[in-house]
Amino acid sequence: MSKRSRPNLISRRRFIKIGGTGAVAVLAASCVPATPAAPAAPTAAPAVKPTAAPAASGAGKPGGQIRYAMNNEPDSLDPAKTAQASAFNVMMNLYDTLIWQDPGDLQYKAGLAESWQSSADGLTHTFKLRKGVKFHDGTPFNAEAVKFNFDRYADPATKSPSSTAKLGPYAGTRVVDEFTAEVTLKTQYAAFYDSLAQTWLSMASPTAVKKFGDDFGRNPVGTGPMVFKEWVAKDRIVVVRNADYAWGPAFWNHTGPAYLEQITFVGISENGARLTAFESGELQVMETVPEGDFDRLKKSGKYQMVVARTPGSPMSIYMNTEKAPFNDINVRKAILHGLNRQELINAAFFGLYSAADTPIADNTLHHAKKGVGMYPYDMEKAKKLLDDAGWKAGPDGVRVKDGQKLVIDFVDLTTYEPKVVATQALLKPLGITVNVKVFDQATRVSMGHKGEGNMFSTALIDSDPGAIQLVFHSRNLGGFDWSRIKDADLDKLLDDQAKEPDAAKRAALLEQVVMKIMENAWVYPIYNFARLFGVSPKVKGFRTHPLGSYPYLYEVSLE
Amino acid sequence: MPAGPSVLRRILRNRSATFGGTLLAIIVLAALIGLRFTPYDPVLMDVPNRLAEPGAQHVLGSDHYGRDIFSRILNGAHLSLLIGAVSVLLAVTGGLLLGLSAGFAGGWVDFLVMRLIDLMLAFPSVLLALGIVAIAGPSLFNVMLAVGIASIPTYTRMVRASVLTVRGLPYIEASRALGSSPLRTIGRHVVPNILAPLIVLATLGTAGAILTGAALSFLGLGAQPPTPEWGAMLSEARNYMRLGWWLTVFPGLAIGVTVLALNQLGDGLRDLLDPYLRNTV
Repeated sequence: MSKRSRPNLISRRRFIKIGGTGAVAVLAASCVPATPAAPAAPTAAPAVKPTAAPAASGAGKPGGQIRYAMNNEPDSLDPAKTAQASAFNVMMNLYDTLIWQDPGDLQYKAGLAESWQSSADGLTHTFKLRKGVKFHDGTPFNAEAVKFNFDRYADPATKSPSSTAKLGPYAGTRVVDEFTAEVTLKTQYAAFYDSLAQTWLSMASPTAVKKFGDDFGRNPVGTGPMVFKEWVAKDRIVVVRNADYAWGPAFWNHTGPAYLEQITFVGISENGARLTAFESGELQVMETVPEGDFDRLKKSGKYQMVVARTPGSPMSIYMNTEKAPFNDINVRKAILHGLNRQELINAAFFGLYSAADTPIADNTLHHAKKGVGMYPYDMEKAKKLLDDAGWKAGPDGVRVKDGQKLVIDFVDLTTYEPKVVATQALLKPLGITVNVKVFDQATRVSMGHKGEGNMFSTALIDSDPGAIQLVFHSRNLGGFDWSRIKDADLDKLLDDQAKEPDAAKRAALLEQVVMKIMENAWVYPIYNFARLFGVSPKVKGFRTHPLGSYPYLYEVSLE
Repeated sequence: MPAGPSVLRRILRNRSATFGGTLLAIIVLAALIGLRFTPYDPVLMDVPNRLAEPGAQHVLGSDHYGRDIFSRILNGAHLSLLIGAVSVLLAVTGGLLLGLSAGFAGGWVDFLVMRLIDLMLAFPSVLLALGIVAIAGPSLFNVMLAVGIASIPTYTRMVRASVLTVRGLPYIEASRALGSSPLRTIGRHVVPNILAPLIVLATLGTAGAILTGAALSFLGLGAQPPTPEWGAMLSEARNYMRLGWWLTVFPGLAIGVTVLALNQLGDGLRDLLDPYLRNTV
């Protein structure tokens, strides 16, 4: 199946692989999500508590089934063959990872690996595996299976859109004994554990992979709490309870098999159709609720409306530094001071998201507090910056310099139009004309890559902060370096932090990265990216993975 | 021309023409006023008062940015009329040129022109317009251009058929015999005699052009935000239609009423100007 065959449906969130670095970033596209507008109060806590609901303690009632609507159908359920959020969603139920990231404290916890050890140089990692784990097809899980999966993910012949990059500088796996696997890396890789906790590197049954070959993605076999039952193309994917399941991470709200007997995933790309199905009670969970409707449903009080914040980089406006007027730092600074963030969030997103003003979101590892509040909203200052830069107010209110009007092309996705229109209205008093240029995903991404436009926007979803290299490192010029930054110092800082195994040192490097970006006013962060879920009141225990987009349906039960 | 009651009086006696004409006059007047004067700034956002129901504050309610819908419809009216007028003017001009040359010259010119027209007619006109805008890029002007070009075939065929009808008539032959140049013959004798059906077709065509223009704007190919073109308003509002019925109903109604006015006027004019129908009424 071609991943590109239906771009409008599948490209809503794209994962982009960047060779060599091991970082895969999710480029959040059309689904516009949210978090309650809370002031970003600086706190002393090292890890910000996720906004997702806390794990329900106590027992849920086993039994029942739910229908879960995503905004597109996955392309494949083989972790090696997909990069889609919707696939991650389903695969999280079918597969387990060696380790898990606890959404409570963001630390890594035991999964299929009971314990692990790293060598002093950070290159050798030894995993002690859990015994008695079986894949859905009866194949025993052991060190051979770990080696099989990692070797497959690392193999360029697999052509994986995400797993290979996630595995980073993988050198190989040695089977020490049946339940001990030793993974070696070619170079140090700070995001290694973070990657291991993501479904892209989860454990698939070697027997089934060999048996089904290319069709494995349609016949997935893992060790997860749910077993694949059927996939009716363009209609539904059905998974049923794994009665033998007893190896979930300790932070889940119960042990043993999942509560739900069956989960039916459906892909409905049209917002209106998804909403109607949800409101009629046909669906128990719906993803990607449009902001306006989120507001409406929340006010109705009839549903659990869940805001699941994602870590990574906030939804931000990238300013093309190669072209006038943003080749002038003062014009960029004028935008940072003169565009009212909260009003933008209110106008375009019904005030559902929290404001963000630095490139690493505050729920992400090593969020740098130093850059917060560097550019407070200050219209007068913005006007002065533009005046000083030579952009004087013209007769029609639009600023002019050397006969050129201050006109900006804001290139974005069609579904992001409210953001662009609100920016247009908010920059008008500053004497800046914003042209709304909205296109489909493929077009606008290619325009960003080529620098055809002045403003572009995207968010980045990744639990590792190093992922921001995707939008700031000069190696990605022509890729997602949409501000078109070519800064050797920044590149070096980004490279260094990716290899730094010491957390404190890495945090210091990332702080330098953030300060460099902020001092140069290369980006205008807007809000903390989040996804909006509508959940039936009958569903109990709904909370999401630290990546934000993916609920732990294992914990869910029905009233 | 047959003697009879003055044109105006005949129009007034025709109910559809009177109704359509009056309605259209009101719309044109409103559009002219809306160019300058609206209760609110049509592009001014007022977020705290977003999605206000129709009432004293906002006659037709406010949209998802708090912009006054009545002001937007009023301010956008001239755009829809302009799309209709400019594109039809373009289509009529093109149709006249091609149709006259095909009908009057005949021979290989006729053959070439008509095959070209057949080729264009092979595509549905909306599709053709879509294709043209897709190539030229989204803008209001390109929409006018696209809708105009896409409607040229209809006018060409109509003009050609009319020319063929009058070409053999004695007064054309007389004109030729008197030594008029072909251009003079066309200008003085052919065109005036095919004008009646052309006016009817153009009036009805304007309604169609407005509709197509709105459709293209709805698809994001026409007016760009924050321009309150009616089709663009519908397009912007459709994501919020579950939050307030007035967001989509009023712009839709505006398009509907304008198209109705033009259709009524066109129908009435056809009754009045069609010589066969005229005698039977």
